[in-house]
Amino acid sequence: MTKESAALDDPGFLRAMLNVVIPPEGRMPGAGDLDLWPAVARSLGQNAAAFALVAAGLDAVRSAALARDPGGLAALAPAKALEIVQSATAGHPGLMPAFARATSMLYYQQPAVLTALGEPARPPFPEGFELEPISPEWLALLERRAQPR
Amino acid sequence: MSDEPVGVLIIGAGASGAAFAWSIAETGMSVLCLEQGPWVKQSEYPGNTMDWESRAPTEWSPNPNIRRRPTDYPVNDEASPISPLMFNGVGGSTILWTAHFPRFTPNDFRVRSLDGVAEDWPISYFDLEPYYATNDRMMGVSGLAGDPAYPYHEPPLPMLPFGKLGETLAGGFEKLGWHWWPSDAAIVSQEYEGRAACINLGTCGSGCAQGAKASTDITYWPVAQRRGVRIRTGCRVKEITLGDDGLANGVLYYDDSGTLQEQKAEIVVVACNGVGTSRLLLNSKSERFPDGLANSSGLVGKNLMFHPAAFVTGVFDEEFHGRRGPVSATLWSHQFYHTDRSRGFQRGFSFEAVRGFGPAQTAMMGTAYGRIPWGPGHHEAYEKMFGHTATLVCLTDDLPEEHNRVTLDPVLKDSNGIPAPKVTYALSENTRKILAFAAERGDEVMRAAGAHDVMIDPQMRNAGWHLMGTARMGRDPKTSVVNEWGRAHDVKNLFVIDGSVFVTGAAVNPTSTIQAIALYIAANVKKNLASLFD
Repeated sequence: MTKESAALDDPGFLRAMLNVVIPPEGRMPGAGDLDLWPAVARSLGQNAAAFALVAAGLDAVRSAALARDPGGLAALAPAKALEIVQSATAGHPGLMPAFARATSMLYYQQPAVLTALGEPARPPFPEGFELEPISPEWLALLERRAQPR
Repeated sequence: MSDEPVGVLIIGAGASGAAFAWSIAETGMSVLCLEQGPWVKQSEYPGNTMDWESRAPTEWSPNPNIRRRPTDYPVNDEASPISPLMFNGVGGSTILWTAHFPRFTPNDFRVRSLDGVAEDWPISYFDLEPYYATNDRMMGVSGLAGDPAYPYHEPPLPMLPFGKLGETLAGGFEKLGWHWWPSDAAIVSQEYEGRAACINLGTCGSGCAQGAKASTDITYWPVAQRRGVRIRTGCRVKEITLGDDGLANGVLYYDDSGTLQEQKAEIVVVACNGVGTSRLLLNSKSERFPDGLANSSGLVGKNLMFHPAAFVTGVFDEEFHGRRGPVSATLWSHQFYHTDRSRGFQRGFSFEAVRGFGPAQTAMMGTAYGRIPWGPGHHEAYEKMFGHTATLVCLTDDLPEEHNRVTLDPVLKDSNGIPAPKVTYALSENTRKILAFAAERGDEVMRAAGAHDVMIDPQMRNAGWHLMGTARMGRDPKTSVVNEWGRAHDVKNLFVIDGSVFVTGAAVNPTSTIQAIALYIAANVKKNLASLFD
């Protein structure tokens, strides 16, 4: 266990927590299924004060979940897990804005997520993208309206 | 240590420094530019990597207080609702701009005469017109000729692709009968002067890996270097030095090892942007100028103008793939640009359309506006937004006020120990009225275009791209810092060529005008070279 937080040393809890923030649904994977925690931790760690608030909040969620079920958050049905998180975060307002923000930022850059969205799983460069030119109708309208040379 | 004296020393390798260097090199004088940042490689830009959306707002943030590179200097912006944005490197802020490239209109130079506010410029649109045209060719501007909001001019390249997003927004303006026109952009729509055509990366604001977007490291500088201009990077100027004759005789600067160096010069040209230039002048104190160099008027650092902006984002049913394409090259509107007293304020604003957001930024924006929750409903809400948004930036005409200013922070310093700038700025009542009116009109046109939801940031903080007015030009040394061709009233061989010299700010992006002015000043220096020190 880290000095500050039991939650941060509990991969199963963190995976379940990430799946509460962005749950699996249809073709979209859950954030917890993508092994995002190390990257989320790095992102949050850039602001030590905010990270401390997040860690404290995560500990509160973990404790509340363990009190409900010895298997913790991962063992709870999604609705119950959500209820636990909502209840525990009420006392830790610093948790969800930062945690959800960091999770979303990283989630939507994962190849599996981009593919599920129908986006190419690649950087913009070097292939770039196609874009339609202005239609002849719009161009004709503008040319009629243009001031003369 | 002292380097060989040069004829012309330019401080800053951004938009204006590059244009001036290219032009003045024609004289055959020795020209040296000192730049505190590095050359940037296109292979370093975020658009090359999968995590581009994480890198763009952090290590490539336009805000130096977030980016915090060793080559940046901090800016105390606690007393301002707008954070100054910039980039330090060869190319300056053109590295991270979106290359939206409007000119000022003729009326923008005459606001005192027309509206009884602020001051008229000592030069006109038509004085700058040939330099606008030269600059369009050098930067590689794409657009459609004939915009009725401007005197006729022809961009050298055809307009960029408009996309479904552009046509949808245009439909909104048409329904309301409002002016709109495809934007000019300093982005090449076809191969041009060794630059490859735009391939719609959508990453303009964090650097163009394709090199289609103009930044002066790939436009002016290579040509200027072929003309013999030298650039020395990693060199941060501490102060401009003054000779016994009252002329600037060079600078003291820290090189990239942190060693203090001296560079002598016959002519000193300051091109450090509307915050950096006044910071340098204020740091250049002497017996003759105890309040900062060229500051007998007391106006160095004062009259800071920003272009406060409201952001209006519409959410549409249609799928736009809106992040694909040049970010700010869709359309602009001057419908509310000029003064109409019935609106209850002076001057006005322009609309500038920008494309949608990438996958991660869509989530950030949707969360910030409370449209995308965490937990159940997240995916459904996200799907309604991703690829379905378009944004209008409402850019206001920010009139000059002396209390809006750049000073030296008494505590904050850069990595070389040079005092950092402090920005003190308050929105005027006039600007507040323009912003409120603009946000309402933005909502109106978005809904006319078919948006079913509209999100408004009534005054965006991270919008201090345009830094203007802090060493303004004029004919009277009591009410201006430089004359009508950029020469300091107080120091005959000192020139300011960036947005600091603006008398008023207009309501459009300023870089086209900044560069036209730099070329205009260079032309006047060349014309007056024989008598420059008389």
